Amino acid sequence: MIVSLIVIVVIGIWLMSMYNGLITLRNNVANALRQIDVQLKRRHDLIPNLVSAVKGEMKFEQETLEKVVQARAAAMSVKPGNMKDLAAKEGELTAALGRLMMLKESYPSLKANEEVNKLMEELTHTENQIGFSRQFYNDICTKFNTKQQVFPTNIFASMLGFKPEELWELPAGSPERENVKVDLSF
Amino acid sequence: MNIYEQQEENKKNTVILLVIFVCFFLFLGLGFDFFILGWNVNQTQLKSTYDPVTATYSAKVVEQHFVPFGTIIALIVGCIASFSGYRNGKRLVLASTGAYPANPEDPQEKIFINIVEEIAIAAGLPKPVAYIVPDPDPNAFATGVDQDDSVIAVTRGLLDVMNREELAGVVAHEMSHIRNYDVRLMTTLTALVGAVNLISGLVTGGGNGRGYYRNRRRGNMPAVGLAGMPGGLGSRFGGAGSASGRGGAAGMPPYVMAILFVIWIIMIILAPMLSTILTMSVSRQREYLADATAAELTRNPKGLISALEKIYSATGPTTSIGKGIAHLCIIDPRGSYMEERSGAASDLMATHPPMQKRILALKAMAYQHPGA
Repeated sequence: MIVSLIVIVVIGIWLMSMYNGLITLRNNVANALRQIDVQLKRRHDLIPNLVSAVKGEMKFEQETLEKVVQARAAAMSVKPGNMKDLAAKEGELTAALGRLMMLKESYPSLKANEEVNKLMEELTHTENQIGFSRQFYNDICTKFNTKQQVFPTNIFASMLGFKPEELWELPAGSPERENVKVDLSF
Repeated sequence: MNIYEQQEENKKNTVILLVIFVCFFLFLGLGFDFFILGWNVNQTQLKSTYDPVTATYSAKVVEQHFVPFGTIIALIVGCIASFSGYRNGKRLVLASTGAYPANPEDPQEKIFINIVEEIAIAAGLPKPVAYIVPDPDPNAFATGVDQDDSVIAVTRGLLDVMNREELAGVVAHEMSHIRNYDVRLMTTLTALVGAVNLISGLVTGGGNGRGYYRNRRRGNMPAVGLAGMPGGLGSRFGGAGSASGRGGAAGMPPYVMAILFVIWIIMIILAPMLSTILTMSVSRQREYLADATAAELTRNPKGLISALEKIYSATGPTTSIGKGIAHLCIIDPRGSYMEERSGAASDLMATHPPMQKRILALKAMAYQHPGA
């Protein structure tokens, strides 16, 4: 009598923990699916802003550099013997160079090269986040599906309304499965 | 064995070791209660009681329930000792190593912060805080008993020599320690170790206990040590004599009790060493498990292989990291390469498995090595 009561209680506890485990995993799967979108939106919002910021830096420096190059060309195009003209053009070149020096001194950390490096790192990081969130979604889906399908849980799982979830995959014949061509030529 | 099979194997080995440890502790504790405190299973005894009303003595059968006090008290003391490590461990560990939070303005440290975030997504964990230890020797550790309150720290030396792929492998290894609750496991084990050493110290008159206290002063964190009680209870050996007399009541012939007593004494004397060996074995299993889980998180065992090779080839101890958290690091910070020497002592007492074995296991996960 006592023994059968204990057996019923033990089975009841097992059923409860199985049900709760499946509920937790189902919610984790739904969460993981939405997390992929979180990362995609982050990429969508962040990258264009970063790129234009870097472009702005590069343009700022590029304009200053262009002025230097122009001033140098003007100074070199002065006919020999025309000292006044040469002095004036050299003066402009000195002024342009001065602005470039000032740029480097005032904003030593804003060299375009460093900004580009930061942008590269941020791009890598963003793509990694998206990839890992898809990987985690597949991992937790697999865990959920396995838990539903092992014995003896499989007897109760569909009764309680749990169904296997689909893993994330590329559609059939997707061009994203192709090798990426890298072409660094001009 | 692939990444999943290795994880199952390591988890199974951990359970076996824990069961052995618990049985060892129970043998010591209950033996202590039986031989030293004279505890015996529930006995019926005849007690004489005096009834003042009728002024007569009568005999009553009384059930005496003996509680194994020694075992229970040792366990409680061990829990209290490790509780402080449980709550304050993270703070103490970070303070002792001089770690500072990673600075997002520094490009290298920003890459490290980014990697921690990525691997946290892959593990499905809340993001741990990233810390840097200002030490030129490459090493890394994780700390924090709760998954949502953890820390991953690397040395500056590590950031200088690793590329992004290798750094991801190292961070994934540390994240695995957090995900598998290794800090919690090792802190709990110190409770058992403390309890075992308390019993051992009581019986051997504090000799072993004093040795353990010396270990604690060398900065064993967060394994908070227990001082052995001086002047033990050696005089209680007299109780052993009556125990063998009562051996008949327990239903076993006296010579069996004597043999058990001798075995128990040997175990008591060897207890501190045996408990250390068991703890180190668990630590090595968890290291293998962390390697396998790291390979599962990054799906790139080669990154961790090349990281381990680089770390091991950079000789020299990591002086900032104390030996108390050696089991949480990626390699032994003492730099003595204890795990590399062959022989029983290093096989049993090293916190980390030998590097070649770890690399072979990782190569098996990458399908570059048969079996293993």
